[in-house]
Amino acid sequence: MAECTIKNQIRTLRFMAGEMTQKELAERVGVTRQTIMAIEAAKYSPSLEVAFKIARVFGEPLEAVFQYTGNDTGI
Amino acid sequence: MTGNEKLKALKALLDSLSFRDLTLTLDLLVTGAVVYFYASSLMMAGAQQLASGVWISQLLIKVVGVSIALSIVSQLLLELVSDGDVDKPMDEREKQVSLVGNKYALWTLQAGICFAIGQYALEQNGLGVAERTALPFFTLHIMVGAFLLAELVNYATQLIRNRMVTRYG
Repeated sequence: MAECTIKNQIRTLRFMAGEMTQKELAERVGVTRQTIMAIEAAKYSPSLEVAFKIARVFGEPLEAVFQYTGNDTGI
Repeated sequence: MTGNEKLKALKALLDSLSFRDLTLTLDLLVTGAVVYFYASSLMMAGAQQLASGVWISQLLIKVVGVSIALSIVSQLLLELVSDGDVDKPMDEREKQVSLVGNKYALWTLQAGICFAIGQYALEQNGLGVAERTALPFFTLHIMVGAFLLAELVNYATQLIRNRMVTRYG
């Protein structure tokens, strides 16, 4: 499976949010713990909806949680 | 690996298992049991039984019955251990994994049906396997086999994809 080019700061943000567990985050976002585990390990890129929900849980803008690391310029 | 390390590895594995993994594992086991029942029934049958349309029909009814009974038992087991997870819908990643499993299952089924059509065409020209072996309903067995294999491929693919995506790299 190709490594996805979207990196994230979920682990750090969970730590800063009082050691929030993956299970707790999963419940608040409405996905399974395994999905959070996969997103956190950059093995799965979430949909925009889930990405926004995760950012909202931490009270951060989307780009503070997810960063696109691909080197193509787009357009 | 020592016994303590094995225990730790088993605990880590069980901890990483989702309810979906558990459901898929049970579905895989149920389908495996049905395949075993069907294959062993065919292997133990005599030439006269294999040539009998009535016996084959009864076998297929038994296979459906075994499949339904095992599915009910597995659903009851899941209900017991689920803690309410049974009613939860799949999330977006699980839906994607399910689609991948369905894709490979469809390919398997299509390959089986193509094989059955080829066998049927050969049989009509006196060249099929059924002509030379004690399996007059070989085309039917290919189709049933393809159906069961497609189910196995579906569950196995989903399990593997789930494990690939949730393991830490």
